[in-house]
Amino acid sequence: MTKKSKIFAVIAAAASLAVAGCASRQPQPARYVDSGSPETVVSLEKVNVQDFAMAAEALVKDMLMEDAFAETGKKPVIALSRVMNDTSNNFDTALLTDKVQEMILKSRKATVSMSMSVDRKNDSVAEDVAALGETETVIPDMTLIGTISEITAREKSTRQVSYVFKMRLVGTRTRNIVWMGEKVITKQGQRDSVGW
Amino acid sequence: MTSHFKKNLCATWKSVALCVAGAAIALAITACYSTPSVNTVENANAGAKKKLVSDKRIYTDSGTANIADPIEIRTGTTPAGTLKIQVELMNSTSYVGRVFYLFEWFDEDGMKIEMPEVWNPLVIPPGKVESLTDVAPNDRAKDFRLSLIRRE
Repeated sequence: MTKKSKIFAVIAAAASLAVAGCASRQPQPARYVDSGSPETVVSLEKVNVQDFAMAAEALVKDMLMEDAFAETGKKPVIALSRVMNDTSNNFDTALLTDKVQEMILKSRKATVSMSMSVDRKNDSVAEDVAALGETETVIPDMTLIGTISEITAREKSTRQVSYVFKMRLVGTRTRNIVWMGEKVITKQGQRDSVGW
Repeated sequence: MTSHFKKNLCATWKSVALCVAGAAIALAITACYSTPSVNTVENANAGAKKKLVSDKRIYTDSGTANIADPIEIRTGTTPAGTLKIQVELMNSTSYVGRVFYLFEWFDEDGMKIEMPEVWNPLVIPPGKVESLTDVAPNDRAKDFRLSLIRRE
């Protein structure tokens, strides 16, 4: 290799590195991504939108698999009682419970009621019906209760966080636990990332 | 043979010997730290009466097929009569396979049943057969599709 060729090679390599460095510093333009797709951001210190979706899907599918709604022998009425957020994140538990209620409704295996505490204070339907002078409260056959908790671990610069989504289906009159399930979502890494 | 030629020959052989020794050490270290694969033991005369599904596969990525190859698809129903599917995926490589999977369900007309969907992560150790189970979202579902994508 001649001296000139060597100089050219070094300059070309340096230029490539410089361009690559500049390119990586350019901010990525905003774009739409599917919230259930593998392109969403994975955060180590918060529950992501896809985590709620995964948990809701796993819990409801477990209810369907275990035939949890067959306890009463008819299509039961289910209401949401309370889901407690026991994590260090501040989020609305409706991000989980709304999805759970939607999937239960669409399964057509149960009727979903808004008569219990969580939904009752937001129950504009009941207010409107009461204003018409007719009220009828149906006591649900089963209630859904749950908790979302967090377990963290660290090894040198690697962080790990597990979000534990637990739910129970309880017979309203019997107080028997008809079904219980859990979905653990564990994330590990040194920093948040785009794409799973 | 001139002494200069002999010196060069010795230097060349030394380099070759060093390279071979380096490669051997690297291989030994790799062998020590390679991911162990999974051994399995199961009933040779399986008593379960499986309802197997013959499938149609579209492979666009051989890498995904190697780490998550569907080897058996079984069908069944829940006690309430809802369709359920179980797919066995095999990782035939020597490294940990990381994929995402998505089940989609279709009614008797072949129309997709719209439900909240999310791709789920799955880790398959080398040599392991992992079972994926899903239940239809409602009784309208008659058919399914499983999608798999490898994680970068």
